[in-house]
Amino acid sequence: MMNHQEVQEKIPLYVAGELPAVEVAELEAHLESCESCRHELEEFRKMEEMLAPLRLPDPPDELWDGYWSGIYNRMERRLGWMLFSLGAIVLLFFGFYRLVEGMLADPTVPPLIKWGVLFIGGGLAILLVSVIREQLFHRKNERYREVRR
Amino acid sequence: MPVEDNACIQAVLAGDKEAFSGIVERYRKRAFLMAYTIVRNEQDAYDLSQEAFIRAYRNLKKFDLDRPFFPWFYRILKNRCLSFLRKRKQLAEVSIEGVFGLKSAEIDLDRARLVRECIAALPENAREILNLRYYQGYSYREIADILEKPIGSVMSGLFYARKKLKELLQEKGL
Repeated sequence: MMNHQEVQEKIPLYVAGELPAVEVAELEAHLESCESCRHELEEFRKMEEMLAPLRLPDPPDELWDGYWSGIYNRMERRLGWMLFSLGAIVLLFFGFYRLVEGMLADPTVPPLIKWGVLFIGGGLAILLVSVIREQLFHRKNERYREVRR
Repeated sequence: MPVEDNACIQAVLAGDKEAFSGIVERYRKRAFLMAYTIVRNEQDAYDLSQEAFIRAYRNLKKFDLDRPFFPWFYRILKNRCLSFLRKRKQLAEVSIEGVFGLKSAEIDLDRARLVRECIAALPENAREILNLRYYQGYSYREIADILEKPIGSVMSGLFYARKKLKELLQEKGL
């Protein structure tokens, strides 16, 4: 026999016609003799009426124009962007290295400028490592990464 | 998992990128509406649903072919939407009257707004079940499948969500 709690939890399934036939008979028998569950059924129907207008309409067909091509293009471009970024980083570092190397070897450049450039280079390297580490840490500790409800 | 999903995924894993369009076409509407109920903005929902498909595509090798595709994809989508909201630190209410040109005369806007506010005030678990049921019209069995929970657990969640919602509605005089 179902108790009140079980009946009240199954009322939505009953109203939606999703309750197996064998349980329908049991639930209806309970409702027959239980005023509080009949009241719950009425309350549920009232709430259904109140919530029914919330149903989102179907999006228009035009929404899907270009939807797949947008996805496909981004799928394809990823490798291109990765190679481009990697190449740009390598070139930037190489260029900066050559610049610093030439400047340090040049006796006409004042020491203050040399130190300034070295500090900028050191700062940029620290910032780059910090950003990479933050990204990796953020990814690892992403609050909703394994969201499963 | 539907045979078509399995066939599409296996084709993608074999190197046929275009085969992923079958998956996208089948689930894009669901994905868009689900994203919409979380982020509450059409353009963001459009972009985030696309991003979720791209993430699914990139992680397809990790997908267990013996399990249904959509619940797995739903977690990716939900994860993406929640991260997006966390970064934006924004949680707006679902606006129905502005969605897809729905005519405002079709619904009692004030009443619907109050109901939406009450749903938005519920805890995440409760809100998720109500969103799937009332905003998107899934059956209880489908909700259980999407959330990968036993139907009894969904019904218990719904029971408590309704109780809480009823209290909030009464406070608003509905």
